[in-house]
Amino acid sequence: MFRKLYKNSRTITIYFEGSSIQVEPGQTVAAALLSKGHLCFRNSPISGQPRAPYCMMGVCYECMLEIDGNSSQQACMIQVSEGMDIKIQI
Amino acid sequence: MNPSEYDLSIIGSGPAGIAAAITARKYGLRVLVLDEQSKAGGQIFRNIEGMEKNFNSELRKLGNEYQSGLSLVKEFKNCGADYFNDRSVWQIDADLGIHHVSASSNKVSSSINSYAKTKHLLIAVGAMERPMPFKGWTLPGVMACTAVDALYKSSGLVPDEEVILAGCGPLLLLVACRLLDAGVKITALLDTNRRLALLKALPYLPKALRSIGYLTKGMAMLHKIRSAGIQIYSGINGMEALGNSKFEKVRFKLGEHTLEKSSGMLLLHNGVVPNLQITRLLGCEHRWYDLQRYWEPVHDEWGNTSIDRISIAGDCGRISGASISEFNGYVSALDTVYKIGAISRNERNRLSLPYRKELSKHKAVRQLTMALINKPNYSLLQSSLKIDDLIDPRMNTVSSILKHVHKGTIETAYSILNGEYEVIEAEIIDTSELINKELKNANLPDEIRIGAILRGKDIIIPRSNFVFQKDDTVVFLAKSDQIQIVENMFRISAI
Repeated sequence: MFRKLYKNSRTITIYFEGSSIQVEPGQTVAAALLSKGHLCFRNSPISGQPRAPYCMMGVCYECMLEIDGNSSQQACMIQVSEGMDIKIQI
Repeated sequence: MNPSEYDLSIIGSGPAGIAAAITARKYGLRVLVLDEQSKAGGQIFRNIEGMEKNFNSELRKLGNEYQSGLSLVKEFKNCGADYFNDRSVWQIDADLGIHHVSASSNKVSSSINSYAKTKHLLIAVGAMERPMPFKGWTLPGVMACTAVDALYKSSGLVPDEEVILAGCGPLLLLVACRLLDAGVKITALLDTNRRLALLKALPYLPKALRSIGYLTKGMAMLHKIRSAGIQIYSGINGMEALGNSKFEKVRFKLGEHTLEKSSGMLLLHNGVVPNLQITRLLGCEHRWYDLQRYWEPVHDEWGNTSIDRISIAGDCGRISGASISEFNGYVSALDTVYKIGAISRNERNRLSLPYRKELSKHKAVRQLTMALINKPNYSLLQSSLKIDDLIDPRMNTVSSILKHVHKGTIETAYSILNGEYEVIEAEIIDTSELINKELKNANLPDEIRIGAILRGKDIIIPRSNFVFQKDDTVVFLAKSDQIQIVENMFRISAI
């Protein structure tokens, strides 16, 4: 999907759908998940079709996830933080 | 709640917002800056401080213009404005009370819903990608080109599978080059505009991209794309993205043919439009800007909108790039400083003069282009079309072409389809019969198509009621045997 051009030695732990993943700090949730190969962020509540981040700048709302218990959060606008708990919304 | 009171509140910390904040602080105004992103700089200078800290080599690749944003951002951080990142403005009251909330769900800040009062409001929220819906565009693996740009700047991420680029406009070429630089394989480039529109756009590349870094590299970009062996399909339509859970291939029509191309990702770009969410919600008056085909808030030269005490600056007013946005920011802030009473009207005019001069100079900048002519008989056109210099592509390296570009005195002609057609750029001088004529009454031969007009800094895609003016630069496509007619149309009396 995506590869990293340069590496940051420091990583933090976030949880995606209950599994822990090591990601670099200083990036958005959407970027972090994409860098780990997670492409589908949600399913359309109407058609059930898979959806993924589209604009990466807070305009399209395709990347909404449940983050730390708050639903419908824009993953492309929120920075990852240690221990962050991220879930796909139903 | 004891709301903070500000003289000037600015929404957006891109070049326009930053410049306005710096200026207003210079004259002692209390300034609030709210931005949705985690770092100052906007989309254009996205993550510029992070880049400097960690990825200096990548920063250099993005070009001088991007790097120049660094000093601007640093000056802003030290200017004494109250700057809050990660903030979403969700309500602006009629008395200019601003409600904003953390854009991040971070546990500590999610409860903080803040309120500030301001005497003046400057909206500098920039542009957004023009959406282009088509069947299958919601499939994972279909993304905006600007999204890939953002991933690159903020996280150093690039696609690791082959991509297809689709859309129109010069930025498509820029993205293609950046991806090539990063080692990404590009399967094909699909131009949804009219046939040959990419070629028509080429003369604008230096100007259109001045703010992005690939300065005057229009030809170099095309050269690069061509030599990378990327297939370019111009004038495609009926695009459809196909795949089960993820993008697998794109289907499109080229003339009567239906083609399919497989790839890992499909990246789309159709130019950018002003982000109007706030000005619309505030009820500012808007107008249709036909030349660039979008709505924009009505505003005067100081950025004042139709609503008292609310101004705009930068691309959310009219798409014009980073440097113009920055000057807009200075000018608008000086007007606010005057309205607050910190300077007189005369001082405002005097202090803003250098910026307003820059703005008008920018409008007057002559297109930096070149002539690429591969048939000797076209050299006859050189004097009549005011082409300053001719370059034979077979005898020139890219660097020598760029040398001409820097001189900035050359008009353009491209030979295409093995010389059957020419794309020519010519300036209308005062003896031309086209002046004050509407396009529909210009009696253009069938084999001549006007691609676009450059008027000052505007790029105009003309409609039938377009009226030619002196000094317009006209880009047109002409069949070779029509060159004589072209010459007459742009008739230049004996010099």
